[in-house]
Amino acid sequence: MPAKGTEAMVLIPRFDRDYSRRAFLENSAKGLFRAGVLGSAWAMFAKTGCSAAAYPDELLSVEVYTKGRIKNGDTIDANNVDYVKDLVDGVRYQQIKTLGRKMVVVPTTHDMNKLMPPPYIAATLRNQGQGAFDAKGNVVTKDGKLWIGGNPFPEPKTPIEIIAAHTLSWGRHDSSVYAFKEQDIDEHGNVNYQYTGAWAELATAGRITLDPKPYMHDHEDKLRYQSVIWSKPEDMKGMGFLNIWHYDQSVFPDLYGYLPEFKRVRKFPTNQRFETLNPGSQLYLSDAWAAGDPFMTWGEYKVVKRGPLLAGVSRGWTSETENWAHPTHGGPAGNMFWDTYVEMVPETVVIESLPVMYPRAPIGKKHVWFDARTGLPLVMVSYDRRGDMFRSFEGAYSVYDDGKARVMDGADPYWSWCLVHAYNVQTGRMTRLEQLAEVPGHKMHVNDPDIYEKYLTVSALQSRGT
Amino acid sequence: MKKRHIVLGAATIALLSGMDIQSAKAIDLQISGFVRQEIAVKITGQRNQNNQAGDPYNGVVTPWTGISAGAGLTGTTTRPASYSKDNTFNQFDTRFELNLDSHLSDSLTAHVKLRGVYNEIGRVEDAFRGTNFYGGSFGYGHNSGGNLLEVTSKDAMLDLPSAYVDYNNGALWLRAGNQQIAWGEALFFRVADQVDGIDLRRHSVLGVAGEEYSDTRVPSPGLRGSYHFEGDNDITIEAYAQKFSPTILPALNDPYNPIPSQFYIDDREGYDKVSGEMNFGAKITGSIADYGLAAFAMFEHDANGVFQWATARNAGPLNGQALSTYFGGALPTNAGGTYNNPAVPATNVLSSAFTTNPTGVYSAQEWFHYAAMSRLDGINGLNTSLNNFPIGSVPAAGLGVANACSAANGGAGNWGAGQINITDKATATCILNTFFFSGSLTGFLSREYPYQKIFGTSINHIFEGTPDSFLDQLIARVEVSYTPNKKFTAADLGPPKVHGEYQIAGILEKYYKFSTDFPATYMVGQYLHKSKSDIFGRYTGNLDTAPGYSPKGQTGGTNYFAFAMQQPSPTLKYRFDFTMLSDAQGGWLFQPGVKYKPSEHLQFDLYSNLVYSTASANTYTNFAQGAEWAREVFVRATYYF
Repeated sequence: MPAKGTEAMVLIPRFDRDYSRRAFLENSAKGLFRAGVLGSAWAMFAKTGCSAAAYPDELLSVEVYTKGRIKNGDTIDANNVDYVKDLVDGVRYQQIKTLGRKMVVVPTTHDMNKLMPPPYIAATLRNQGQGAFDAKGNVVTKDGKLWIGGNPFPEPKTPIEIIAAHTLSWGRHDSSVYAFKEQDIDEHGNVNYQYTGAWAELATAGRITLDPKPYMHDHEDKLRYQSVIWSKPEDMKGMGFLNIWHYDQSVFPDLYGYLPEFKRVRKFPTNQRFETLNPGSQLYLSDAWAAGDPFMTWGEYKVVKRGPLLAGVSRGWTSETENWAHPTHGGPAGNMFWDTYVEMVPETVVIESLPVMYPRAPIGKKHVWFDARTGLPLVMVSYDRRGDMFRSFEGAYSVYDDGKARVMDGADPYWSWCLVHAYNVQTGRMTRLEQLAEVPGHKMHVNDPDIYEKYLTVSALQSRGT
Repeated sequence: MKKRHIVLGAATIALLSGMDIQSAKAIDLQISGFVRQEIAVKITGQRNQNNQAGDPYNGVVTPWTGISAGAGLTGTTTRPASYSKDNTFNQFDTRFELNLDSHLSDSLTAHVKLRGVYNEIGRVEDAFRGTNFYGGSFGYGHNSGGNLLEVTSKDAMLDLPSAYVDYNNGALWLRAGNQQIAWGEALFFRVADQVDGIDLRRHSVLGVAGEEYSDTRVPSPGLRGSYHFEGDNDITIEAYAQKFSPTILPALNDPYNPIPSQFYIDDREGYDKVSGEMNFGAKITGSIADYGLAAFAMFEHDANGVFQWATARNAGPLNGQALSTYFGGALPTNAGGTYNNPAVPATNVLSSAFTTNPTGVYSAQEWFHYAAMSRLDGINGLNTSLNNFPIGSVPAAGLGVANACSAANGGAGNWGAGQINITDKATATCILNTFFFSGSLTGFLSREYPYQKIFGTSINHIFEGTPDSFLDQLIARVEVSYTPNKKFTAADLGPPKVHGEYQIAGILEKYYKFSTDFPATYMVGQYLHKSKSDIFGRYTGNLDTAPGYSPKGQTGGTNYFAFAMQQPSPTLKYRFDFTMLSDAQGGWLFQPGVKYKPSEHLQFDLYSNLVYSTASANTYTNFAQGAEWAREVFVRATYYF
């Protein structure tokens, strides 16, 4: 116990640890899922530009939470992870405890502009109070129009409002092309497969940056266009799939695919969303952004937990490595995990959902930890049909500004995902994804209207095929 | 992984403060490819009868009945037994492919693929020793036989199956250069996929069915482009102009040769007539409600071509002295009474569709056997060859023999020039054997590539039902094409038959999860109806053949049923395939197999082609008859880099 009057000053919480727990329970009981223990985090942010005032100290500092056992800058490893066992999901706990995973703790980010793109935040504030569900369950404005941009439910009252808001805008940008590299590692640490390619997303409704907004003309029945096109390895070069999402979230997206074997684009069925897309991968189409399916194809949404979490929402990008590559560590061969920076996310809402429209899905249920402040998914853990822990999907986000260099998105530094761990608990196999500046044939783009014709049409798939 | 991404420009990507990533300039060149060994092992005792080594008449003493000075003669003839050679392997290829991709600018990319194949089967198997596998007769120069951008030797080929530049600007896409163009909803059935011919060298159409024609479609230089129109119907217009390139047949005595090697296909003359021609096509695609629609038109020279008798040329024309000598005088008799290809000097050369050649047809029985196997008319084929390419002057040779044999068999004996009309097997046998006394004969065929127009349309729809039901996410596709005045090879190898032909394909595709532990099983069922030809493009009037008789023909067109399924393992490391094709006439092709990809760099494929006919062996009524020798197991080991 630190001496009174010295550093103990910063360690004495204003509220005891049970205060937060009680507050979370009480808020949940009242159907109040908005962020903030001491008040609305959104209201605080709108008023002061900072959400910290909405939380007691114990939720803002890992040092306070662990009573000084772990401080910012410390590395969490097998020796100290038990101090933060409540702050990590079960999969990461096991990875740290048994596989040599480490995470470096950094201070909590309170400026929401560094947790999401500022235009998305501006649209959320501008359109606050406008979000509603129509009779079918799709998100509309109060006067029944398609959603107009930003988070329609920044202060949610039901779990489906959190899911719906995130599904409407995965990447929080109107358009994105993510140049990615995937590495698939077996339980022995062997990198068996590597892939590069581009993942493209374009919003057709709720547009906030690209003209025309808020809707893309002639696409008013759609929500987004999304494609994934591989450039490596050789046998998959040019292979690509185009998902056209309907605005109606009870309808499966249309799926078109270009397979090098067929040399042409063909329409594919789209309900098989629990298949790996490429050999060795632990990723399902359903995993995308922890909300890869239309939200009404899942159901039985309920909040199963609320509380703080250690998660990667900053420092995930560095300008100091070539092509933004990320170093790795841990596992049998020292390459199983990305080097990850985590910070104390003061409040997460863990939502359970069931794949009600996928009777043969290998997944029985999934739990997704959403950052209550931003609505971003931080971790997803799914369970098999027997109820055993099955797979995890864990993202890390960041502003692409490390103080030495930055990548711009219009007037603001680019904000996006940086890293993904997709791990199969039952096999010990890992898929690591990272966003890079460029990969063969593709470069990162954000809010570029031209990506529609370059990535998101049948012609685009055909032209990128080899 | 070793990096082969070569940055040539000043691409310091956004590492400078405030720099927009999209403004970085870079020209990059990516190099990738693979090396592969491909081996196919025959699992049947049957040999490819189209080849000399597989001729069932090799070493068989065959009754011989001919005529000399009006008198009937009998004896025997024997094709040399030494021609017979068995083979264990059907394929023994080493292949590499090298891909070069370059991102020249935001709107311009280039792709070049270099393919090299070294065919070692001639070194491994005596049956194929000396075969000129790749140096065909199209006359592109450089001893080339395939597409324009290839160089070949007898057992090696090097080509550029892709060499094009892509230009993208908004809704406009252009691709200029050597390229394949594949259209259509159906897989393997070429209803709309008729833009390019196919290259039947290497592994014919017996490769992995799931790879369709990606390695065999013949590339050709052209310009292809599309424009996508914004709107509710998602309309795209696509068009191409592409240099004509023909389907490339395997060489005679290639393991997968489909043409009896007693015939010589003269590709060059027909090709030279159209080698500079361009093919054109256009397609419009769009959607109405939940239905995907397309309509297309092609204006092209038929890449497969039609075959006719042609004047024989090159070495060994028909030996006129032999004919006139025997016809007017005594027939030399070998010891034992056999008339076995007497060595008569070729001093009186006669023009005809035949040449004497030791690898030709030796007997009427052999002639009729191969005519039936090739779905041709052995009797009328003889009529046409004699009428259109008279042998010698009346009555010294062809016509004289025909009249004499006809009279000897109780038929007309006074046909005039161009009027020979044999209708019975005995007369034809007499004439053929008499000619074969001159020596075994090789027939000459020309191949022409007639101009044709193809019009078609297609529709697709994804059904929705209750989750996990059969209908849910079932894809249905229908594709139709019509070719007015299409020309088909005639059974008598005379002028082509001309008929309008329509094709219709129905396709049902489904991904179904039988187990939560395994990825969904992909299943596709296809039906194809062709109104005037079979799956190989043979005219329906030529089908249902029997040795020594004219084809009965198949009325009502031809029908095919295919089913394929693919079951990946949970990690996709394995994929188990099964493909089946039947023609409802007793012809079956099964192709089970497994694809194993243990790592990023390695892939192993193990497949088998099982060709069976359940129809009577006395007639040729289905696609499998004459191809059952192709039962094999094949392995491919690939290293990707």
